[in-house]
Amino acid sequence: MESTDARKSILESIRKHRPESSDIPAIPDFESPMSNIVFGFGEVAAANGSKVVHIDDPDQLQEVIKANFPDIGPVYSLVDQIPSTFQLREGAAPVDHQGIDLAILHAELGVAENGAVWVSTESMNPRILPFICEHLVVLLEKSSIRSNMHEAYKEINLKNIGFGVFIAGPSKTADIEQSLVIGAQGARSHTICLL
Amino acid sequence: MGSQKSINHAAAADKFIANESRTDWHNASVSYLRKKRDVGAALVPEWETLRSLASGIKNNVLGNLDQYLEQFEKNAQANGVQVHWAVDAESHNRIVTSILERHKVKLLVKSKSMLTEECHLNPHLEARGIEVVDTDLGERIIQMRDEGPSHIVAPAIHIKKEEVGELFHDQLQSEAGATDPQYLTEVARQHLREKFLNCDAALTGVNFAVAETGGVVVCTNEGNADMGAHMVPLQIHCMGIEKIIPRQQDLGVFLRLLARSATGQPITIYSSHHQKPKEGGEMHIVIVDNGRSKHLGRDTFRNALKCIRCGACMNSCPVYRRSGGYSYGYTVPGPIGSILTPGFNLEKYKELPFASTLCGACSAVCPTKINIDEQLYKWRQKVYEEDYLDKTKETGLSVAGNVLSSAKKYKRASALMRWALKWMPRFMTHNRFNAWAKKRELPEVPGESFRDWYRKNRK
Amino acid sequence: MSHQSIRVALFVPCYVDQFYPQVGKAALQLLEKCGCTVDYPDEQTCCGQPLANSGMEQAAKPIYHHFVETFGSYDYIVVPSASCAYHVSHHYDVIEQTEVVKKVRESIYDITAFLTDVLHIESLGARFPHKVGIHQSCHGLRGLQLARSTEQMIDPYSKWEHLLHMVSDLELVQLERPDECCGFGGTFAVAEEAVSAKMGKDRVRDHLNSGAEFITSGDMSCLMHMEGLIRRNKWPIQVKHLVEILNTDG
Ligand code: SF4
Repeated sequence: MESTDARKSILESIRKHRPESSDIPAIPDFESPMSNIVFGFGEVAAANGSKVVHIDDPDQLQEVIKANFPDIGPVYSLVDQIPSTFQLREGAAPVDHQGIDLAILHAELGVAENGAVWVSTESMNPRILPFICEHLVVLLEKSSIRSNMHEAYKEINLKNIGFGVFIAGPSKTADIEQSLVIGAQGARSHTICLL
Repeated sequence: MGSQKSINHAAAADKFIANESRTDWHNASVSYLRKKRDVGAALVPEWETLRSLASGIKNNVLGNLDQYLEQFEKNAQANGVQVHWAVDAESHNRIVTSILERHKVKLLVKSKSMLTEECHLNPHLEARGIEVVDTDLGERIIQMRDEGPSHIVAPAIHIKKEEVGELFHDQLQSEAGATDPQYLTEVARQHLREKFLNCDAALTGVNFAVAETGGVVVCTNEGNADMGAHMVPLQIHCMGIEKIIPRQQDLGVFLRLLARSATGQPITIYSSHHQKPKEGGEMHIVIVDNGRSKHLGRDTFRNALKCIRCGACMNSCPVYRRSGGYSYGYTVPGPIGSILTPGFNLEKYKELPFASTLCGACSAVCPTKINIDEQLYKWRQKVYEEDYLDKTKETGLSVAGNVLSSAKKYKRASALMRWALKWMPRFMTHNRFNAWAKKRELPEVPGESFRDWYRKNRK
Repeated sequence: MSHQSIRVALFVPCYVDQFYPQVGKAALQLLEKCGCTVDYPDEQTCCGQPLANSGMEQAAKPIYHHFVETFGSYDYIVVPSASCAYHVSHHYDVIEQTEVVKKVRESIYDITAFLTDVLHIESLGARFPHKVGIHQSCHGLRGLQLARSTEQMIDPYSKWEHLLHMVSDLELVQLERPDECCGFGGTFAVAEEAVSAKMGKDRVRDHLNSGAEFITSGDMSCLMHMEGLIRRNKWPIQVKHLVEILNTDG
């Protein structure tokens, strides 16, 4: 079989050509330059084009949605406090999620240095959800914010999940003359409710 | 390996620069990326430490690549992923085709992948009746124009919004004369959404493949890779063998560096970690060599394999910014392209190591600390050794070499030796092609050289 | 400022010798002012960089040996060119590393670094009542690390500025792009004529826009290239090597 032969010949070629091994460096802990990582997270997230809303109670989610999305269409929610209004047929395929106006889900982690949130198949299904919706709202507990990516990866075990993604704002592009445009292929807006 | 005709960078650059205002515009847009990188990197106090870590991790990878690939394969298979190996571009294309044909794929959506550009996958698939749609906006624009990328991060950076407007008007029936990027992006969104909803398979490139977890990481700002990969059961990820990193924790180092180096963003909007196929789906990873393992054997040049394709070296390159990506005649242009290509085909790309002033901005900016300018210098020596140097250049300078190694000849005051004496400093300024004097005055020759003055006044 | 004990050999690059003898003289006088005993070995020719940068390192090796022979007996070799100093220290690794070769590679100094790091000059007695822009030559900047480049995320420093700050009435201008290459690049200047000239033009324009009357640099080759453009286009700006400014009378 082509691939099996190729595997052998590639690995052989690498063994023939590889340099002597060097030690892999240990990655140290880095102190955050932020005095308050929750505040810092909010600032960076906002700079990325995310909307950050502070709430004290998950029950306030309703109000936040109402206030920020007054004319919202079909909602798909993975959060208890908000009911889904988007109708899905039994055994729906990912394409069937086209038409979701607002998706609401739990974020597992936040990263202060870059304003990203981590969502994975542990808390989200289907995988297409945060991308296919027009607007995305994530609920993030302040205690889940880590200072930087190193700290975030300490909390993640990729081996346990099918898919996971850091989302750092609304979908964007600058491919036309470097002009920043929000809402390229994925969600047009990204709201983080900080609990 | 394509045509043997060698790339003439200088001639292509000459043509590019002939339109000076456009050159200035190109220089400014590419410089803008670099400026944003400086701002983004400055916010990270441990930036230089991260670069050293990235470089060290990649060095370790190069020395253990075979083991990491095997470990990666084992873990990926345990995750339910099908792993394929391709020695070269043709076998990569064959493997992808056979997967697609098995699934009777008619429409493939593809996110940015320099590897599939390198392998010329699109024409291969199109010839077999499979429609391929590049879904990154920049990539889609150049695909519609039937061009290759001119930059590895911003593939359409050489195109003006007016041109995009015309293109979309012609092919996507957008309003005539539209130039607003917001509007044009919306047009593309609707067009591409249609493709996503109707595709049969998705293919992405790979930014990092983690040996420890068997998964791949794909970074985009638009979300196009995810819109494809999660939409349909069949997802394919194609990667060069050098994309491996050992540990999950190494992602922390590289994701902190990648986007900041590329555009100054603290991280791309989406950093997607694909570990296992979705329920009822198939996930394939194609591992491609295509000359990389051979390059690993070149002591002086193997470091080029540490590249994470951030584009910072081209954004920093004063030559790239003024000559455009196409002047390099290869998918990966700029400084990194100029040290990779001679390894593929020295005859064809022998000019590229000379398309540089050796200013070193590339090496200084590179997040994995590739010694690009030193490699350019070393490739020049290779070009000479392999006898590809322009013969006239060689003869002229070799004469100078003999003259200069002998002080006697250099000093003798006879008419002939006076010429020799003056020749070396003038080899650039007063050569017979007179390229110097096209836009510059020649330096004036004063009555007395320093040496003459010193002899007269100080001896 | 007494460095009487320091004996240095002055290396005057071939193109400086032929086109810019005043730079050689200024370097010599400046070193003497700083108390050095300066020798100008008459056997000297060139460091071989023009050949090597063109890919002809092999042909340049006899030049390297000649250079080592000429300068091998000195404690310090000082050259008013960062580019030549860089070449000798970094690219003479291809000839056999005898003791004397190693010594030459270690004892060659660009004059800027020699003044700041060896002589630790703190005052000069120079005066230059003009607006001056520094052209940070790439080999000086990134090769010899004479200043921090904009790529590096470390605390800023500049040995060039340090010296120019000692010149009275001299005003340093702020450039839009403090470390863009001028496009000289040796053979690049003719092999890639279009890009080279365009880079030079952009570089000079930045200085012009900043209001500079003079462009100064530790590398005369960059200045030669820019001067060629300046004279052709009759731009209202001049070039001066750093040592010419440092050597002015107060
Ligand atoms: S060589 Fe370095 S700077 Fe250039 S694209 Fe690769 S990683 Fe980025």
